[in-house]
Amino acid sequence: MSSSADLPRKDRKIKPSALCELCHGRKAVMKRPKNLQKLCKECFFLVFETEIHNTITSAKLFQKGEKVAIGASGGKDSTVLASILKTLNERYEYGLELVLLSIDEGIKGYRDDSLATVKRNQQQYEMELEIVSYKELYDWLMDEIVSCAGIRSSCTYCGVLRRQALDRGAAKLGIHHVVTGHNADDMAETVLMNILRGDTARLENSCSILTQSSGSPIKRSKPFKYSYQKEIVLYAHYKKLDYFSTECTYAPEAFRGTARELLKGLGAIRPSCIMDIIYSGEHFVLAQKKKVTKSYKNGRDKKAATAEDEQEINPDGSVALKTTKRDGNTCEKCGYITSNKICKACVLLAGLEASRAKASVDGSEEGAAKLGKTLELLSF
Amino acid sequence: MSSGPVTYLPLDTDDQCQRCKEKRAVLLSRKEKFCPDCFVFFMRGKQRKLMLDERYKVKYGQVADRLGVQKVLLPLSYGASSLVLLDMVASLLQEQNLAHKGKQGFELVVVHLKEPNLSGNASDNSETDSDFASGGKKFKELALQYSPVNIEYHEVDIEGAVLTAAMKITVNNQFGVIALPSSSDEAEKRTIGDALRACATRSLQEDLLSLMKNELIRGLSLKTGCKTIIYGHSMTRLANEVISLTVKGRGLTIHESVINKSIEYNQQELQVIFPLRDILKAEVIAILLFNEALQKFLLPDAKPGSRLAKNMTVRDLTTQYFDNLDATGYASTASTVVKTAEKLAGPKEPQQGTCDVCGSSIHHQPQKWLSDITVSIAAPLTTEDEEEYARQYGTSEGSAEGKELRVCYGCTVTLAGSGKQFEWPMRATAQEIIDEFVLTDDEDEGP
Ligand SMILES: [Zn+2]
Ligand SMILES: [Zn+2]
Ligand SMILES: [Zn+2]
Ligand SMILES: [Zn+2]
Ligand SMILES: [Zn+2]
Repeated sequence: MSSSADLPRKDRKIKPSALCELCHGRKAVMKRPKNLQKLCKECFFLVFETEIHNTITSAKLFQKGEKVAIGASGGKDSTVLASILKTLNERYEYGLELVLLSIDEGIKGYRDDSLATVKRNQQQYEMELEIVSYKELYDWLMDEIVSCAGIRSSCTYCGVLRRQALDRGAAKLGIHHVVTGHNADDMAETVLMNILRGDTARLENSCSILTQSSGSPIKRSKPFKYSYQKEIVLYAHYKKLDYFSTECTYAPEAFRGTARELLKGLGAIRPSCIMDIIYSGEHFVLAQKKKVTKSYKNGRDKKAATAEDEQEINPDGSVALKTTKRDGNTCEKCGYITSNKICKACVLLAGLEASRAKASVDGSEEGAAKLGKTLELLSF
Repeated sequence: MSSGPVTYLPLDTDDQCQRCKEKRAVLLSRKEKFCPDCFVFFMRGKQRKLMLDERYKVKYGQVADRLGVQKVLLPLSYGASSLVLLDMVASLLQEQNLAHKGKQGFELVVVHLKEPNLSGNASDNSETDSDFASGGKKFKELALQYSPVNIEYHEVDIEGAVLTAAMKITVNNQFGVIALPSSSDEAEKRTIGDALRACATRSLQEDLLSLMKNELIRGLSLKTGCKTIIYGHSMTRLANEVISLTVKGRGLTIHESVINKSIEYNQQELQVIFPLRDILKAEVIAILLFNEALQKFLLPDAKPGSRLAKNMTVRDLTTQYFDNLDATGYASTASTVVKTAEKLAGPKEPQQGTCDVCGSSIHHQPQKWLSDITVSIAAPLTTEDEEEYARQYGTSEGSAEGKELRVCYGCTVTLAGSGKQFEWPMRATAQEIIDEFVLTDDEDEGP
């Protein structure tokens, strides 16, 4: 098209090829990571938000009047989640009462800054905020745990303890539904890991959007299940959202690291691959087994068994503990809902106590090293 | 030499083979030291175990009457795995032939699909592929080793096959796959190779090519009267395939793509077997290393390592991934992945039909799933300038009208990524290629 007279007067005319591929009226500012579509900011916001709305409605995630806690770390996933849920709650009249629920693990520097972010979010989004600290729940600070168990195993802790902390915090507030910022990249990675590790128990339900541990009154869901990590970053960037950029500083375990690298490479040549992996993962079906599996034997229904299985995947993706399961009841030590005699948090904490005692007696590193070893055994 | 699953022992080793306790050991595999002969024998045992069914044995009397003459199709790429499988199977037939006075358990049919050159330069790969497969000359030389076994051989040139049932395929914003017949004279000159080269990325080309090959091989087995297809895939390659299929959104087909099973194809029962499924890629290479006569037929494959990162395919990356796992002590992953795949079944939901592109069965319409999470709606335009731009734009492009196809998730995504107005044949084309290129009489050499 030539510069015809009926075009709007502007400093520079936008070439048709530079226009947003959806509205054709504004200049495209970004290539959408999911499908490389060139979009303007406004269209990107709309499609990104609508996709999350679609995810929520097709899974019937919320009920009118429900009180929902947003697991808020101050990081980008949970900050974007809070912002979007507020937007959607108003736009589509979900009728939700949204509360920010934050865990203070007691990591110096990292947590202080991120909690400050959550507190600002509370003002910005006008939501109630509840902070639950490790110290008050477990009588341990994450820094103490790390110095006691070593950096390598700390992801096991941050998975198990944080999950329980969120549940307990929610229970304290009388809330039965916690939403977390787990995104599509996390989902796809989990699907790949389950195949690579041969974890058939988790294969069929690794992509469930809503999970609930047996006996637990707390539901957990992942409205970002189909949202790409990169798009969450872009959304936060263009919306100028206030978030704390450091994620969990403990590196993933080595084997998971290889899967993460593979996924990164695949994403570069096939942008749809994250969705594609989730599609595959959602449709995996196990052949009928010849013998009855452990989880069926107790007479628990299938749904409860798989939800319990899901619980073992830590939020940051580390390997979780595998222990023999019992019927859903409460932990002998702390009263928290668990399918074991003693809940995972208490198992971990008991180990820590033992090594703290030992370390103070011989004043050596031995205690910590031994605990690290024990944990590795437990993890596999 | 490597820390992988096969370790080659130094040439001056004093270690003896733990099997025959006579010859010097040359390698360490599965915690045992082997001489070359014992290693190959051990590996052949794994292949034979997977072909124990009576239909592959020498048959007499009633069994022979019931099963008739069995024919087995072996797709040969001249890569390490398919060469090793050919050698194992042909040697088995040779043994049978000599021991049973000319009787064999089955007739072997070998098919070579000449792959199109996808580098963009049509004359580029002619020396590599055609040297190896020039009207079957090379194969005749190779087959001599197994005399008196007679092996039927066919070559199909995918590159030059003409796109007869070509459709311009467009994927609309709701992920509907629309087929627009292309004008006939335009299509006549275009080949499969042309179509593939027009595809947006190498990764998508690879996906489409493998669908085409899969369809061709199944079709060829019917055409040549084979009721069994044996693939040379090693365990490593199968694990690779499981991950690739998952990554391409084709996880639903894993249970029929990597597992020994009988499938139904055009109302006929077909056995699909992977006789090297218990052998690792490193072991396949070791077998080839001990067989000089076979080695010289190996078609060197293009090294993915030399490729730019963005030109890699899904299979390049997953191959690299498993190679790295081998080198870093996670070699058992391949076996874990294959075992996991063996536990998978087909979808629970009833079948709604078959994919118009790849032929796999469809149990869910992927369009709703896709359009829910990849929305194509525009935010309202707010200024006059914006509306003017949109008006101008609107006149420059019309919307596609045509027949909506039934297409599986994997094909929908691949076609959506292949570019606007991408041209790809319907499934029926494979049958036409087969009819055009394959002559059923044994003595014919092809076109
Ligand atoms: Zn736009
Ligand atoms: Zn962590
Ligand atoms: Zn407890
Ligand atoms: Zn020996
Ligand atoms: Zn298909």
